[in-house]
Parts: sequence; structure tokens; C-alpha cells
Amino acid sequence: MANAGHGSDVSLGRDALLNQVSVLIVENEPFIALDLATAVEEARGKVIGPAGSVREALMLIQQHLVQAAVLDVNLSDGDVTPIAELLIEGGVPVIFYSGLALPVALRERYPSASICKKPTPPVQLLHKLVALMATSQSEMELGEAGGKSGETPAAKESPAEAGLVGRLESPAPKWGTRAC
Amino acid sequence: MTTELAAFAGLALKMIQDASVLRASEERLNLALHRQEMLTREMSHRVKNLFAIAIGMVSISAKSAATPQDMAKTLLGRLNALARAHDLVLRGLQANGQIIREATLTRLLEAIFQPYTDLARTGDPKRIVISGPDLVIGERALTSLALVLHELATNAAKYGALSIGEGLIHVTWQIEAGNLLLRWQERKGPGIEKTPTSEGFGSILVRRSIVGQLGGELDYIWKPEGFSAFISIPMERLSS
Repeated sequence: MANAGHGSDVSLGRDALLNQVSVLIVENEPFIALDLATAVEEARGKVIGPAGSVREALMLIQQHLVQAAVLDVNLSDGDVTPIAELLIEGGVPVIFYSGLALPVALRERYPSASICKKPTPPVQLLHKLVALMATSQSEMELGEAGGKSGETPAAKESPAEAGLVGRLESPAPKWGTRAC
Repeated sequence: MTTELAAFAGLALKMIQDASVLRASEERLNLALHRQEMLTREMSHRVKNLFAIAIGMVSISAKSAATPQDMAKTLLGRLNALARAHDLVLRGLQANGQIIREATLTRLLEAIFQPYTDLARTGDPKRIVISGPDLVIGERALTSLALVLHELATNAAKYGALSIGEGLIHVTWQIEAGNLLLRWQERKGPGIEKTPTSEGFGSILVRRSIVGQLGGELDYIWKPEGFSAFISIPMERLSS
């Protein structure tokens, strides 16, 4: 109901969870996409998208600073692999949100990628995203060792420019070892 | 001696034949089991996806509804549209596992308008006109299109041509340069004073489905005599 937004048990702990972090949502099922977008807004995050196709998502990545992402796997014009690679290589924390397992290529390349199986309540998914961002941030600071920190790199920066060398040298990033 | 040898050779040959028959039937059984497993996995994926959509529907419908009754009505309408679309898919699935594609645009529109045909009985029998070339719609596109058409029909029932007895809806389509061009035209409804300034949830959903999910284009036109929607969808997306 319209008046259920504030103070109801559903929204407990949501406030300020994302603290203006910009979250790219890639999901081609409109109801799921809008539900995720609303959850991000209620958690005080900034929504980029939702994008329903690979093409749309690539365009958004070029235009906006993406600080975290929730990615559906099967999109209307192909699977999410190119977007996932671009974001993960750029150090952006990513959660896959899918009813299926990851495509083999992605699973092999990023064995410890975080996956939330559909359906997962959006709030739970965002909590996982926040946890992932915290881990990813602390790893980045270790990897940078004296470089400028505190800024999440945009996806359009190449890994070298983003100062992620240390992170990329480790064979498997430690973040995200559990599914939702 | 020769007869014994011949009998032995015959027996041996028969054993080989039996073994190969057995092997062939074993292979067939394995193939059938494999198919069964694939089908089960595919069904499981679809059910999970439907649950995810239904959960999204509940939260979205809750956010845009003013009262519990309002929410129930909106939600039931959407769930029913989803169920009717799924029904069209199931009807095409034969007992032998073969899929006969019978989810056509005409059938889908008839299914979507079905709740409103009682209204039609009391007024002009031609209140709702559906006309265009027969067109098979693939399963993926079917769900999105069903929800789009449902949102448009709901809107017509709330504010447009289906909200009063005399209103008319014409849904016509043609195929041009690899695209489906569908025109939804409402006439003799309550009349429109001005173009709405903000987009409702239903309208956002329609736009996301057509543009984001089906890779198409969408235009709304509000004229004093009634609302029209123009939808264009690439044919290859419709059949997927």
C-alpha cells in the first residue's frame, strides 16, 4: 500500500544502506527490474538503468559512473558476459541475479563471482551487494598500496589506470564466495 | 557336422543381433531420459522465473496501489494475464513432447480481452475489433506482450474506451520491413482533455517491456477523441 513505505518492518534497516552509491541494474524482466530499482532508491542508492539489453547496458556504462551492479544473466540480445567482464575488470563489485547457473565462460573466468538465485528478496540482495562493496574496497586499498584511495573506479577506466594491478594479479578475487 | 556348424553360426548371429537390438533400445532409453531431464530443468527454470516475476509484481503493485482492494485488483489482473499467456504456451505442448506453435497474436489478444467481453455483450458486439495477419509469437516474447496488452486493456477499462458503454477499441497490425507494427486505437470513450503529465507504473512497465525487453519502439498519442498507442517490434524478437 502507498502508506507502507515508512516504519513498516519491511523497510527496517534499508535506510542509508547504499548512501548515494550508483548501482547499475541490468534485468530484462520489467517487474523484477522495477522492483530492484525501487529497492535501490529506498536504500538511498542512485539507480542507473534498469537496462534490459546488453546494448543498453553498454551505453549506460559509457555515460555514467557505475559503482556497483546487479546483473541478470540472460538478456534480450544475448547473455551478460561482455558487461560482466567490463565491470569486473574495472573493479566494480558485481552480483549476478539469475534463475540459472552462470554461463561456463563466466564461471571459469570468475569462479568466486557472487550469485543470487532468483527469486531473492531485493533487500537481501542489496545487503549482499553492500558486503561485497566493503570487501572489494578493502582489497582495493591493499592492492593500491599508497595510491589514491577512497574512490571507486569507473568501469570505463582500464584496469591499469584504475590502479588495480595488485588485485588483478591474484588468480581469484576473494570477494563473494557465497550464493544468496 | 555342417548342420551343427550352421546351427552354431545361426545362434551366434542371433546373439549378436539380440545384443545390438538391446543396445539400440538402451540408447533410445538413455536419449529419452536425457530429454526428460532437459525438459525438467527447463520447466524448473521457467517456474523459478515466473515466481520471480510474480514477486516483483506483488511489490510493484503494492507500491502504486491506494487501498488493499485496489492492490488486489491490479495484482489479480496481472497474474491472470500471465496465467493466460502461459496457458497458450501449454496448449501448444503435445503429449509426445512436440511443440505446435499456436500462440498467435490474435489468440493472445482474445485471451487478454476475455475479461472484457462480458462488457461487450451489453453494448455493440464490435466494441473490440482485433484484425491483422496471423502471427506466431515465441514463448519469451509472449509473456512480455501479454503483460503489455493487459496494461493497455486495464487502462482502457479504468479511464478509456472500456470505461463507458459506447467506447470502441481497434487493435490492428501489419508486418513491414521486418517489424510488427501494431496500432491500439480507442474511440468514443470518455474523451481526453489533455495529455497526462506524468507516467504511471503501468505505463512505465509497457515502455520497459516494449523498448527494453522486446527491442521495439512505442508512441502514445492522446487526442480529444481517444487514446492511441503505436507499437513497433522487430519480428525476430517476437518469434524468440
